[in-house]
Amino acid sequence: MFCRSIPYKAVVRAAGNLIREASFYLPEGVRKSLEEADPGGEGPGREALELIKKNIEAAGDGKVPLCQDTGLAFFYVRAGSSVVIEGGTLEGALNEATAAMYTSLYLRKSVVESPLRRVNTGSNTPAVIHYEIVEGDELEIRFMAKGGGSENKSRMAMLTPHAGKEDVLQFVLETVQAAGPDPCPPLFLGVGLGGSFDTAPWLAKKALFRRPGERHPDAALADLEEEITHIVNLKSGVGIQGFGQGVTVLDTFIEEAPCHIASFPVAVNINCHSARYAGVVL
Amino acid sequence: MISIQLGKDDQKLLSLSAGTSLALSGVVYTARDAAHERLSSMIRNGKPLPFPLKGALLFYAGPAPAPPGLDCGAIGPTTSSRMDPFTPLLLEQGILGALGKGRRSPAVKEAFLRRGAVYLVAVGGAAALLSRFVKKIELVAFEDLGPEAVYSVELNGFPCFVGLDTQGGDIYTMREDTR
Repeated sequence: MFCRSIPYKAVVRAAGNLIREASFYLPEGVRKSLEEADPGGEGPGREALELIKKNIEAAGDGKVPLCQDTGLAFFYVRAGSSVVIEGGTLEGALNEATAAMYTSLYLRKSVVESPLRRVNTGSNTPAVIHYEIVEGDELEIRFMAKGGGSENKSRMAMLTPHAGKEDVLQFVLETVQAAGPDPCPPLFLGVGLGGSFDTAPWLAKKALFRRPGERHPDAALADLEEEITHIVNLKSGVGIQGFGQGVTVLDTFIEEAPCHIASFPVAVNINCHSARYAGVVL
Repeated sequence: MISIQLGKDDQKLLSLSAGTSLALSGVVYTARDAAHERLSSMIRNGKPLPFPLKGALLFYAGPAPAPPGLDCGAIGPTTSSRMDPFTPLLLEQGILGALGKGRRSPAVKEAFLRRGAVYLVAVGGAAALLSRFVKKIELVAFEDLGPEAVYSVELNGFPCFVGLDTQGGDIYTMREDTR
């Protein structure tokens, strides 16, 4: 059987570059969304947005990261089934890159070894890693640095099979309103529909790896993405930084999966305005 | 934007309305979740505190380490409501107020009002920019907590807003109130 081997060190290097890129430079689409979010008028919301935009420049010299909460390190890996990592494991490489880069780039170490004991691991590891095994001989690695504030306000619910689009909309709206200023709006929303109790939140997280404006290929879901953004901005009253002025949501991304006849899992993973991610294909 | 020098302009600070934008200067002390637990336990057990709480402004923040050649690493506010369970006790110790982000519980708002203290809010997710308004940062206590340790932070024109004023005004409900 044909196998393509990728050296362990090459994976460490590639993952490290993604951490550097995401922590200091916002993706083009995210920057553009913020540029277009100007609410006009005067007030704390507008002043806050100006500071957020200046912050992108301030981080741009690569010395001080975009946010002090440099996040849990999330990796979303799509590994071709004929890829072999030579000289170590994929998990080992991603964790080695995380520990090395969070130290050498002066990023904050924000991981405790246990929710009850709460001793800092001192390395920002372990990273959270999701794998998909796909056909082929490529290794795609995507990285996201995501802060605790927006994770804390994310929610999931088990709706009934009788629930419809309106119920999904209502759940998202309630989630954003309950979150208020805490997850640092304006926000990006990842919405996971279907799957199961464990997969819906992952679908929501996976959705957040999409670029602003990148609509779901299914036309109905693409429409629902736009409708959620529109309705939440119209009705939530949250606004930039929760000050009630300007937009609350910059974009919404949905991922769906088949589910049980008795169930309708829905999850909302909130991301802050500083949506930090990067990806590479090896 | 109003310039405030902590220690000198405290009375002026206490007279400003919610929503006012500030350029804040002077020394504040970082304290977030773990430091709040320790400070509260020290107060309850009558232990000596690592810095005087009377007149202090607490900054709910866990900074990133300073890179070589810079005065301060990335720094910015964390979610204040997580400190709510500890805040009334700290207000009783005579703190001037706190700097963070997000809404406070009704009980904590009431406690701020009763003590005549001020709650300031800074922009979340602007930490590279905010670090440029810090002149000096020094470890004060709880070194083992890493980013959650207490640091004294000398601010220099740090941009923030009055969140809760001493008349009961709240930046997070201002827009609703005027509708």
